Amino acid sequence: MEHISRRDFLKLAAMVPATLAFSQTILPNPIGLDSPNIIILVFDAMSADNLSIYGYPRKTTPNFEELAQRSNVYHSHYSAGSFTTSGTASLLTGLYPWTHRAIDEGGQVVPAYADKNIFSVIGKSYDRAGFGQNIWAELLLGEFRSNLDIHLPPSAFSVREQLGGDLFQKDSPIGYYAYDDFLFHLGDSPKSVIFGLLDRFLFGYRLRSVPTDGYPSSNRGGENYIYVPHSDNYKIYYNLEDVFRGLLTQLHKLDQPFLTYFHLWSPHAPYTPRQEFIELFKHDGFNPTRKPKHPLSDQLSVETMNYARLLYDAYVANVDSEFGKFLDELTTSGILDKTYLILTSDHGEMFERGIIGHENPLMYDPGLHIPLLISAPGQTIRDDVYSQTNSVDVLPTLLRFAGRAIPDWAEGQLLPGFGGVEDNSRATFTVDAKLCSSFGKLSIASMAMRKNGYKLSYYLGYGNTDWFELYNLQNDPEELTDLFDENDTTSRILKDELLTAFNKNSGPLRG
Amino acid sequence: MVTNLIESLVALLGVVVVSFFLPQKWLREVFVSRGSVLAASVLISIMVFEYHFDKPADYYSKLPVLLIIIFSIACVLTFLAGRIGPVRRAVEVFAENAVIFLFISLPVSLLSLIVVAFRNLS
Repeated sequence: MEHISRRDFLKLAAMVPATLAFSQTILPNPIGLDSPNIIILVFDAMSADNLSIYGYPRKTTPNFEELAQRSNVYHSHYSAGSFTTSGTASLLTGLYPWTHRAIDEGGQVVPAYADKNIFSVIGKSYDRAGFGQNIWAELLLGEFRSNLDIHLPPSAFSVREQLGGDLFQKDSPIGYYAYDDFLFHLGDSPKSVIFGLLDRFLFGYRLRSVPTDGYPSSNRGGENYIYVPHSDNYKIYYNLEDVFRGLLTQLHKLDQPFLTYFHLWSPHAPYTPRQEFIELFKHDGFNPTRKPKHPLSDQLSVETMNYARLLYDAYVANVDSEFGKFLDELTTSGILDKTYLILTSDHGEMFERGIIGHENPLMYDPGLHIPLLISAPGQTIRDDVYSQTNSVDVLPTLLRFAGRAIPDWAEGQLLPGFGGVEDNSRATFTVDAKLCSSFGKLSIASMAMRKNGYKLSYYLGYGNTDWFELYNLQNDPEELTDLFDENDTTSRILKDELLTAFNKNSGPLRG
Repeated sequence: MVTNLIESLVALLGVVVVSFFLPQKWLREVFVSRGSVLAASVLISIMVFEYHFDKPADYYSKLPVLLIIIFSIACVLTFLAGRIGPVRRAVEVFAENAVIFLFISLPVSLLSLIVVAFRNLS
């Protein structure tokens, strides 16, 4: 062709959009198996030991059970951390706490690993959204914000909130630390005397109009207690319905494929279920197994623990009920057809041995055993996995969903059912070192290693002597008989392996 | 640091405003002692109450009573601070020595204010 005429050019111009239009009909849907959506839904402080889906006598999770009919259900899934900061950081980075070092309350991942997280490794082809209703989870999302396309503040979807950290958009983690955690933290008297007084007066005034219909009218929390879901430490009051509705709205706004990390505060304390859920269990006669009080516990009475357990179970049932509506909407809208839905928690909750909650260094299962359900796009059958898994396994598995390579720094492995194999001979860990500096040696710490159905716990720096506890989780799931001094061979082998791992990873950070 | 600076200025402004409305002879010779005791008693009273209130709604429902008590205590202490010689002299010595903190906190606070404003308000 000697030259291109005007007519030739117009023909060519007409062919381009025609070809592009045709390509839409013959090429596979980009939201296929190669790039599915991924929703990670984290319920804070949800112990697997209190969920009926895992055999708990109270019917706390009928909607989780409905989801389980089309999911992989992991029965021996454990958090790598024992509270929000370390547990969430391990979930998001695929690293154990002694590696990522987000080990103290409100801590963050050390700079060397700050760009190693699920958002960075899945890449920019995904629309990545993060929401941490728990400020400590938010601090981690804030650290990873350069890898997020949408970063919702913790106050999103609240009935009443009065946080200041998100006002400092370029310094939001420092803003939360300085403003909400130091100056106006609700758990203590405010560090700012005058502004703290004004801040709480204003928030108290705004709380007067919070709707409390359906919640208990008793003054269980004392005079002026607003009995709706909230954080005791930060000024966030919310309704679960609003939060789930808000999350659904957010999902519809995202470009596909998307990766979302939604970290809800509930069922974390204070336990504030609706009255109807308290009524479910109030007179059921359930009598949990009595266990000896631990020396490191708060020495609470059985009655106190059982009452807290009742409220917690009711709160879990309340959360499950709202999750059921959320699940229905995901199903009817078709989102689930092209989405991996991952339901899990950051740590558990204890109501035994003289303890309520998780603010202790103890390594017993109720505080560490967490739910994990993964529903794959189009999955129609239930698959139960009983071998032990850990929260560090989620990141590599999720990368597999997205067709990404698993980075060599990841410490977990693929979950059984999604490329991994059931392997109880593998050692997995939970580490608590909240009293230590992120950069120093872990000199006060507790940790648990699970292997071959046993759990060996190690307590270092608490009291005059360090000690070990060994439990056979298959024969003694309630952890009532300490075998450490009885089973010499097993104790010695597991102890050597645990100490080798700890000594390798517990030193001060260098460089 | 930024909040402390602004809060200190607000507290100081409060003392100055009170002084503006009171008769000159009440404060002329004893401004330092009475002003210091007024600021300290109000702030310490607030701290005590804040320590005992643990729910935000308490602040709304109990604040009027709280303010009456705080200012009653502050008035009494401020009056006594100007009348009792040893107390007055002790407060003045303490206030004079506390000036050293200004040389440290003011520059650091101002620097903090500039950094926060530059990074977040631009």
